[in-house]
Amino acid sequence: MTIEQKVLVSNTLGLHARASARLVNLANQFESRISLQRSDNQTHADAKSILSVMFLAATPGTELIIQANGADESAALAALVLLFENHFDETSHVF
Amino acid sequence: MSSSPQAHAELHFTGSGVSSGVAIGTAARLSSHARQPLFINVLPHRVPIEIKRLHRALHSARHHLESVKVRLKNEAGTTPAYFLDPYILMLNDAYLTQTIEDNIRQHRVNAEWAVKLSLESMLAACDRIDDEYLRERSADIRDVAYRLISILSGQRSELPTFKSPAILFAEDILPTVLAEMNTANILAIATDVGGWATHTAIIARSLGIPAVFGLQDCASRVEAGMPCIVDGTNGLVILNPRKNTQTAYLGRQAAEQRSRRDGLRLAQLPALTLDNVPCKLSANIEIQSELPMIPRYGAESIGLFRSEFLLAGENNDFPDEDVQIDAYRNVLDAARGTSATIRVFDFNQDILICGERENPEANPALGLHGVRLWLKHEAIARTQLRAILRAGAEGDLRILLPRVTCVSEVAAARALMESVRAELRAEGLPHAQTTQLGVMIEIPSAVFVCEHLAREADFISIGSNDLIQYLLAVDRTNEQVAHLYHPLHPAVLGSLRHIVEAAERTGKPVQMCGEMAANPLCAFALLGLGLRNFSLSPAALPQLKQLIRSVTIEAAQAFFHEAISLPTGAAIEEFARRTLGGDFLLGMSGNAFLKVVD
Repeated sequence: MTIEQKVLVSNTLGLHARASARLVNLANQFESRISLQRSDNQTHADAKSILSVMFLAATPGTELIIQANGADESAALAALVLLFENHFDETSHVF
Repeated sequence: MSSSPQAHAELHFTGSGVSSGVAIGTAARLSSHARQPLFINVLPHRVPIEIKRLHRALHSARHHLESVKVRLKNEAGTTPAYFLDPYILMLNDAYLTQTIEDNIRQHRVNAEWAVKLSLESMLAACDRIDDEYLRERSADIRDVAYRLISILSGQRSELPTFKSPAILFAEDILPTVLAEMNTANILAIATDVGGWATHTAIIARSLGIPAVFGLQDCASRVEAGMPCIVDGTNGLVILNPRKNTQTAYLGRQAAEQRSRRDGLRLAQLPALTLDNVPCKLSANIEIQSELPMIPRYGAESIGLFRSEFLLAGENNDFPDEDVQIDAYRNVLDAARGTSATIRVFDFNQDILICGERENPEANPALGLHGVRLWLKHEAIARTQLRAILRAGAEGDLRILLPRVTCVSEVAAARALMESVRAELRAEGLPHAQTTQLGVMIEIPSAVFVCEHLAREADFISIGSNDLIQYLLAVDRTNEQVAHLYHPLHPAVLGSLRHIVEAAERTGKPVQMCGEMAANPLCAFALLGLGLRNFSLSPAALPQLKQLIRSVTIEAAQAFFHEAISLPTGAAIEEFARRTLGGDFLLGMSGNAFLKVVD
């Protein structure tokens, strides 16, 4: 079963290279298939491919739907949603 | 160009100053890396061979960038090093690999040409992106593709090494190229394209190299050896500067260097007493925003990092191993080659642990806390030890145990630490081969077994805030008794003397990491009883240094000798005030510290 949740790209620069890298690194820690879909034009991206995520061209304010399907889908979805909610830690670092 | 009459005319170019500072020197050129790959049609049986070549090139490029990342982290810190992550991920990207493989199969071409085809289609896709910032990321894709092509064509990118200092000119410098260059002899960077937000600019800033980007048509007019000036503060590049331009800039350069030096001078003065006894000042750190203050305030190392501040969120979630490794590495980076001491999680009983609340205690101050609690929650302790030992592979990272009361706690912690080390060794993960383990003396019982603790531990740290509260049975936040919190109480000074003597007998280093030393009257007494190492919040360090540089150890010892026989803290405070002199104390910055008791 696929589970999904809406998120908003709310960090300053959108899904740029470094933010995408964080997202892809995180997605790769899970077994589930994880995809991102733009709410406005239905474009899809594989969350485990940095190029795929970069080509989504998700600018600040873009609404995305994260979909996860697999053994650890709920953990994966929760982790990715948290990353968006924390604005990719752009303002606050690890501390 | 050298034959033209214009060759020696002064030329000005404006661009965006992406990294401030002035550099005066001679030019060096970095030629364009973009070499066109060869086109070869391959026979069907060669297709798998080309795919194999592609995978080898991907692997080699990835491996190379990983090693560049490690080096950059040492030179420029963790944050710029992370900018290499997208490139490393791209080289590992299933989509990229698939596209190139498809091109090899469908067009029956060599791997180099297939990379070029994939690059072209991806750049076309990038151009359709509306957002300027995201569109600029096409540079990242181009960087990765050229890297692959040069590996496949056997053109191991030959980077210029500058034997003498030079100002680097180029049409463009790829971030990974700047990251892998030896920048020791690069005075400044000037490029035709690029801007403030590029990764190259970020790296230049973190390496402190003045840079002007976006000069449009400057690089082609530059010849090696040409005299030039880069003004990164104002976004200006001057070729063939006239004599008076040069003189003006030499003046500006000197002024910039002077102001940088003056700011650092006070902080960089040695912590020496008037009779030349060296002291060591370190920083207590709670949050990341304090890390940049460390050099400014002249801290030699990080004497205390309170790791419980890593607990995040409403539920006080424990950070996982990777988050902790990042944090400890940042602390170690900020210590700039000296040591950093991580105090393991020091909780109060009301903090949730893994979502489970312990049975509420009637008297938390006398309950399960500090090292007792930490040892009881072995999983949390092991994760923290793993992170400290792993981050410690790159420098002198030490461990400090809070609220120790008994030697058995140190032995248990050491056994746990060595078991974690064995586990890391078995997993083949890089980790520190040895780790100094220290005890925090902040509970009266620890004062009296201090010599045993000193033998079992590698160093001693005195937590003056808690020690005073426990010794005097005074809660500083309780208004009814706050006036009884007296750091110069004879019991406090006697305990401290006892600790210092135990350290001297065992030959183990001792430091104080508490706010007591921030008070000049107290600091004078601490010098007199034999303490030389202090760790304080960074902002309090300059005043302590000022006191250290204004007194002799001889005077401090004579003072302490008499003070310790006085009956009350108030009497000792009055004696200290008389000995140091009112004029001297008024000269100290920060009058708030003139009273020991508020």
